[in-house]
Amino acid sequence: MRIPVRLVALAAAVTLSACQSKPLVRDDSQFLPFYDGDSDVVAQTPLEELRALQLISTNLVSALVQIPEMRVGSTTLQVSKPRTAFGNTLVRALEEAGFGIQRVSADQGLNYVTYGKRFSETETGPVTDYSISVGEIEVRREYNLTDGSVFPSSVMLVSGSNSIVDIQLDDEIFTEQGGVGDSFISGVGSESIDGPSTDIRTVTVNDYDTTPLEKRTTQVGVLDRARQRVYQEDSKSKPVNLVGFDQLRRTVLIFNDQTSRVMGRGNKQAIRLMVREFRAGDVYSVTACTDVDGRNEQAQTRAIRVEEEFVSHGINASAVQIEPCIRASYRHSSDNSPVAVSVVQYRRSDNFN
Amino acid sequence: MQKNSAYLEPCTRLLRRRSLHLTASDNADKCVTGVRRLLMFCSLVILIGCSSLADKKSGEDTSGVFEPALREDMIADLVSVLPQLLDPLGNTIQIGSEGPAGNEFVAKKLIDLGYGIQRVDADQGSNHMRLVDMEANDSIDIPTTRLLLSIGDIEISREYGIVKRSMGYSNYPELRWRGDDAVIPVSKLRLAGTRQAVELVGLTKQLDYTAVENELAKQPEFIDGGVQYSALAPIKGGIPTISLITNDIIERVAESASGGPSLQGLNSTRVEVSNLFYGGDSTFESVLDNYNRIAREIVIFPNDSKRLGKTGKLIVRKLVSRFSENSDVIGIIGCSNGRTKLQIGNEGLALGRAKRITEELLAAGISPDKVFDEGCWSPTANTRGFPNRGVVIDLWRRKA
Repeated sequence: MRIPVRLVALAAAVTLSACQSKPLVRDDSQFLPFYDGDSDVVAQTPLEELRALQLISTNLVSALVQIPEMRVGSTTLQVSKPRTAFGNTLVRALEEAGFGIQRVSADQGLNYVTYGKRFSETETGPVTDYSISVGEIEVRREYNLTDGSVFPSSVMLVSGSNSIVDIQLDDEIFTEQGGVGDSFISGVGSESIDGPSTDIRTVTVNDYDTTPLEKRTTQVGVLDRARQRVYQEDSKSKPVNLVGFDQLRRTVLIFNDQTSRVMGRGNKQAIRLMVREFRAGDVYSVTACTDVDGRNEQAQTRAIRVEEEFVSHGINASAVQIEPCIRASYRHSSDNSPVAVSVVQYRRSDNFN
Repeated sequence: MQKNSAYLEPCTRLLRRRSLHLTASDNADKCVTGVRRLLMFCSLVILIGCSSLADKKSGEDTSGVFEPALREDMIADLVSVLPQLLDPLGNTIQIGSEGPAGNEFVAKKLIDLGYGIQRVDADQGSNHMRLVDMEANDSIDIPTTRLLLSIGDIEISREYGIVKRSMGYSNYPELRWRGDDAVIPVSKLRLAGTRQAVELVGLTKQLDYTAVENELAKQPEFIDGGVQYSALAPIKGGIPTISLITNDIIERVAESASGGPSLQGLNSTRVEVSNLFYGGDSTFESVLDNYNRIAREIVIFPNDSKRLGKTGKLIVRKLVSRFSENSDVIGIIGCSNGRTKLQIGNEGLALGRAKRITEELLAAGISPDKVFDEGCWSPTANTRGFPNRGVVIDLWRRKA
């Protein structure tokens, strides 16, 4: 007996496509905080508006993360249960950014989060601005919501901090929506006249910028990048001069493979033990990259992972120095064997007993 | 199959000829009928296939044989004591975005208790949460499991069993019935990494199988639960070595490169420590600077032995009873000075004795990062006041 090949192929295709196709159900979970969100409010909000609010929240929080005083990774923010769609997407963005979130019933806590959306009719037309504040620090920006798209209509304004020059905005999340020659300004400024600002540029959005939804930059991607920038930039732009320091302790942490960010209990315990001997002024030097060509993104991620661990024990990020590649070994890109990260604790020579 | 092939044969022939002329009407009719049946068969396969996939999806992640509600009762019991160990207002707990069944429930309970929650994509954080199913006691006649909840370096675990109404426990108000089943602890609550006094606030009773195991009774007793302190679960693969590299050490190593006893060794947590026999300060002096010594005990070991003995254990217990969780650390100096017949030499014996005391302290629930063990060793007798075959244990309290 011979079964027609085309018939079998057709049947197989039908079978597979049937299993693949899913009912088109709206998934609100991506707009809700992991815990204690208001699913009713989100369910009542049109999907396009939710997407716009998610972009705004991502944009504001990615700037907030890069303010050094926020100490992302070791700061816990206090939030009340969100009652609006913007509140829900904003708290979700804060969770994704790596802040600890503590639910409070009123406005308890040193880092209580307030946020708002203000609509005003001005001489230049209607303006909607969105803001988030934590303690003294506030991040604010105006946005235009039109025809299912949202674009910034001002620079990002930061108050309560002078450390804003290193903030980089991932404004391409807006261009991915596409446009017809629309433009917006991108940059960070200060509320005060004599305050600092970053370079300001104009971004034009064209129809060829339109990116399918599934290929757009994710919220997690933007916030991850922003967080990593904080650690990376600190070591790059303000490296600690180790002249006058002596080595005190050294350990080598082993990660299971190139891509792993899981440290494991042994490595975590080693960090815990090193931290207990920390004295003000000490510096931990982290070397993760030993590649001959001097570049290794994954090694950089591992170094940041180690820095995050120190920071979570209360060590200031400025006391952890990520070293550049020491160009010592050749490793093939397909080599996925365990990898080492070396940590050396330095102490000022005059700080020994 | 025979039938199917009969239906398919005309199609096969038609396709083989690559001419689908409808003029061969008989064959075409049979072909259409065959295709119809094949499509019906395919639809059936699709339905069965897809539904089985769906079943798998909804059924996954239940972690074992227990109903989620019963598992949640166990988790709620473990989490209930946490505020007595970690202040909710001052501590944020890291929870992985992926984890075993129950992770989300733990998060909800922690939020209810007022803790901050930080979502992490790996195992970041000083208070990273783990929920682990451990092996349970299989000698008990009811289904049991041991759950371990670990937050940072504190571990809370307990063994639970499932009882049925028909077993005669329906009158106990303590039990929360989920249909016909209820969770009941069958062990004390075990704490590791802390000596904090804890009062049970979740499931306060437990089934005690001691009499059953000793064949003194047929039914277990329903008794008040308790708390037991123990050592942390062993770390698979161990802890990376932490080397000591002060200039002073480097110079001394260079001076003594010609031989003699070593000047450093690895302590119980694989931190390199100096040999105090040759003078110098404690390796951990920078930490202990902030503490006052409030008690000192000396445990003497038998010759060439790491055996602690009854007296030694009693001394350690006495010291543990004075240990205050929030302000104290313990310094240990294990010594072996004089000739030894053991292959491990004086270094192995000295640090081994310090390790033996450390193990005893950890078994009593003290966190490993609160114990600073080091040693003094030499093939000749000591003149600096250290015991020749003993361990000095100091209790240090943070300066006010």
